[in-house]
This record gives sequence, structure tokens and C-alpha cells, in this order.
Amino acid sequence: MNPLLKVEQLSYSYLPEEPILSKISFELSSQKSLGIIGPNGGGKSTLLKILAGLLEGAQGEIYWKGQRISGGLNESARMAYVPQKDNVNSALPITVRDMIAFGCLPSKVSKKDLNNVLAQMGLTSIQKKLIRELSGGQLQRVQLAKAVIRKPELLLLDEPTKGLDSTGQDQLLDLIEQVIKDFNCSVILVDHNINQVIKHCDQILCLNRTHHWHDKKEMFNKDIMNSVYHCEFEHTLIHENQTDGKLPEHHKCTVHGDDHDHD
Amino acid sequence: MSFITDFIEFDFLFNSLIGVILISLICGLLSPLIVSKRLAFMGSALSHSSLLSISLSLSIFTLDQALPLFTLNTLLITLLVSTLATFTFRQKIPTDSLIGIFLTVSMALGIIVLKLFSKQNVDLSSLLFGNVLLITRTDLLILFILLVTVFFTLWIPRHKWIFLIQDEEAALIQGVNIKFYHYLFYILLGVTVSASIKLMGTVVVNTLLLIPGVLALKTARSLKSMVLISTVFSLAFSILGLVLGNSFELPSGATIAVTLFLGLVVCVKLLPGSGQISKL
Repeated sequence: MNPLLKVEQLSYSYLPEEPILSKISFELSSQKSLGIIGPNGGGKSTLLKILAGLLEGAQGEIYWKGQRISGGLNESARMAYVPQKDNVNSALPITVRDMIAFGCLPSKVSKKDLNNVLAQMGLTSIQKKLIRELSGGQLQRVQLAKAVIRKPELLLLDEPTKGLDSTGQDQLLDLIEQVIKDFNCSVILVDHNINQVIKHCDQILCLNRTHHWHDKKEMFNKDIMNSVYHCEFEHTLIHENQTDGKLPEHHKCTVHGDDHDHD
Repeated sequence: MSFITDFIEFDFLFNSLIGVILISLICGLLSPLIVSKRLAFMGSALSHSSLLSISLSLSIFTLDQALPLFTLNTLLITLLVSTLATFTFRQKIPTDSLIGIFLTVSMALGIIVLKLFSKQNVDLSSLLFGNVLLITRTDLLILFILLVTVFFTLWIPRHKWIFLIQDEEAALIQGVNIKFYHYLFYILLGVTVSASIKLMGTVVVNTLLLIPGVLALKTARSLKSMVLISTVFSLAFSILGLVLGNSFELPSGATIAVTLFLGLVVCVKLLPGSGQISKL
């Protein structure tokens, strides 16, 4: 069975001699979640924007349900992209309810669908509040609701937990897990909180420009992370001594498309 | 009561009253969009740069040639705003310095062109603050057509405008032609300034493009009330400014600008929603 999304050898450069992504490959099955982690400037948001169709000129192949597509997913797939919440301009006096309804351009949303989404996202009690009166966590839930009202098959979330405390992060990621079940969609999310991503996502893509590693989260360990991040991590929840310092075949990192073992 | 009956008795005052009503409605519709898109400085640059376009137009036509003057002025201002729109479309670097340079240079050039090439002796303050004596029936017709155009251009794709203001990237993904709407908005502003300059002048147009929107965004609890507050406020205080200007024999444009500001202060105190201005 074809995966929902398959990306092969994806490369992208803002400047010709400085690739931000080099030969990135990964895949995502239906109703699964992929967490993209990596250091700042590692190309996580760039990858998400390429998938969303916001950046053009990437090399490599993107397959949606086995069909090769050109450009981003916005033209070929039922995909919804949720940017970082700092990107949302809340100056207009628009209520939570209206904002979610406006998420479904160009068609109109039925009252029933709207009420269901409000209830599922826990927004019914604040539906008449203005967007500018919301807390960071509430705004992020509204953004998520605005995306799922379109019934997407894939949700792209750019740092959804940014600015939230650890409880807020947990609540939001629990909600995202619930969204996957309730709306039968897949999720790709970018996040800096490694522990939260490992806890809540099915698969991991650890990305640092030309280095990347991708597999099920059970396969992820500190050696891989240290290698991709190029630094030592002390306080992460992942298992450490699975490999005795020697990585099995599927744990290899890819650098410029060539496999290599870590020292 | 003569300060009211004057508007019925004298044609030029009646024309100016109708002109003020039309301009205040147009600006009342556009103002919340300018303020919410955080384009206040750009609006200022645009209205002031019209000094260059009107000066160039006045080197070919005179003020009483309403239609050709408006046409040429609109063409020139469209050229200027398109340049400004190109430099400000999805830029990652701050564009405020560029807009500042554009504002000062175009104004300075406008004054030089007016001094050197104007076909008639035009008072600079008339172009900055407007002159009730300059408005003609043709100008009123142009303003009426513009009001209808602005209303439908904003109303029909209103969801797209809202989407664009809130989140440009999400709008792009949903298939909204953001470049088209970016240019369309700038051109609407340019034509509005061009059509209003004789009656209101560059400075007063700028005031009308900003103050109603600030009040509306500050106090409204819905999009409908935002439009209503902005247009009613703009209309009421512009008419009040014109009447006060006439009764105290003050320059009408300047009086309208001050009345709008005082109206903002009073309404902010009286209407609910105070304390939200920092969030705009």
C-alpha cells in the first residue's frame, strides 16, 4: 500500500552554494504523525513550506498517494497548513467562531460542522471572544480548528507549541493526537521540544540541513540525535544504550545523500 | 442658522458638502483595512506622493479641467503606487525606510515641479489641505463612481480580504491571488487620493484614511460593526468639520482634520473597548 506522502531526495537552497536541505527522504502513512525536530536553522520550517507550496524551486520528488506531484501539496492534496502563531494578525475584530468559518474558502461551512469543530476543539465557551482577547494556547487551538474545518487529509503544523508552558504543550499535543483520530488525518509537525515530539508522534524526522534521520520513534536514540544536532544531549527521555555505540543499518544518518556511520 | 443654510444657498458649498460625504464614505470603508494591515505609514507616503502626480498633471491641465486632470493624476499616481507596491510585496527586510524616502522625495519633487511647470498659479496649501472652491460637478460624479467601485471591490471578495489581513501565507495556500489583491489595494488607495485631493488635500485625506479605522478597530466587536463605526464616524465628523470651518471662516480641510482627531478622543472616552489600542 502506498504511503500517504513520500518525499525522495528533496533539496533546496536559498543561496546556490548554501543548501538548506540536501537529499531529504521520508514517508508518512495515513493517520500517522511525523515530528520534525532539529536545531535552529536546520531547515525544518523550510521543509514544511516546500510541502505547503509556499517555496518553489525545490529539487527531488514528492509523491501523494503514490502519484508524483510537482510543486507543493496545496495544488494536489487536501492539505492544511498552520503557520507559527506569530504570523497571525489579530487586529481585526473577528470572533473565534467567524475566524474558523472563514478558514473554509471558498465554500461555506455548515452550522453543524462548525459547532462540531468548536466542541471537539474545546472552543464552544469562547466562540464569541475576539481573536485578540485569546491566550497563546487558545489561539493555537483556534488555528487548528480553522485548519481541520476543511477536513484535510494532512495537517502541516509549524511550531504549534511555541510560547506555551509544558502543560500547555502537552494539552495541545494531546489535542493533535485526538484530531488525527477524529478527523482521520495525518500530521506533520515541526517542534523544538524533543521530549514532547518523541512522546506524541509516531515517526521522527531529525533534520539538520544536510544531515537527516527518519524512522519510527522507537528507533530513535541519543547517538542519532547527538550526531544530527552535532552536540551532546543530557536531559532527554529517549533510550541511550540500545546500540552500544554501534548503529544498526536503519539508524544511519544521511549526509548529502550518502550513508555513514557515526563515530 | 446661516452656517447651515449657506450649504443650500451657495452651489460651491453644496458641492463641497456632497464631496465631503462621498470622500468620507470611501475613506471610512478603506480605513479599517489600512490600519489592520499596518499600512498607516504607507498610506501617508501614498497620499503625500500625490503632490508629485498632481503637480505633474497641473503642468499640462488646469484645476477646472476636472476629468482630464483626474485621469492624468490617476495614471501617474497608479504608476507611483505600483512602484511602492512592488517594493513592499512580501519583503523580509523592513520597508519603512524605503517608504520614508519615497514620501519625502516625491513631496519635494512635487513642490519643485509645481513651482517650475504649473500652468496656473496654484496655492500649495490648497493641495495639502484642500479647497472647497475647487470642487466641480464632474469631481462629484467621479467620487460617486469611486464610492460604488470601492464598496463592491471590498464587499464581493470580503472573505479573501479578511483572510489576507489575518494570514497571508494561509491565504496563498488556499489559492487567493495575494499579489493581485496587494496591487488592487494600493491602486484603490491611489485612485481615492487622486479623486479627493482637490477638496481634501493630501494631508486631510491621510487623516481620513487613518482615524476612522483606528476608532473602529479599537471599539468594534464584529466586522459589521467595524465597517459601520468607521463609515458613520468618518461621515459625521467630516460634515461637522466642514460646517465648523464654514461658520468660523476657517480652512475647511484643516478644520475637518482637527475635528476628526477631537472626535476620536471623545469617542475613545465614550465608547466601550478602551485599552485595546496597544493591540492594534
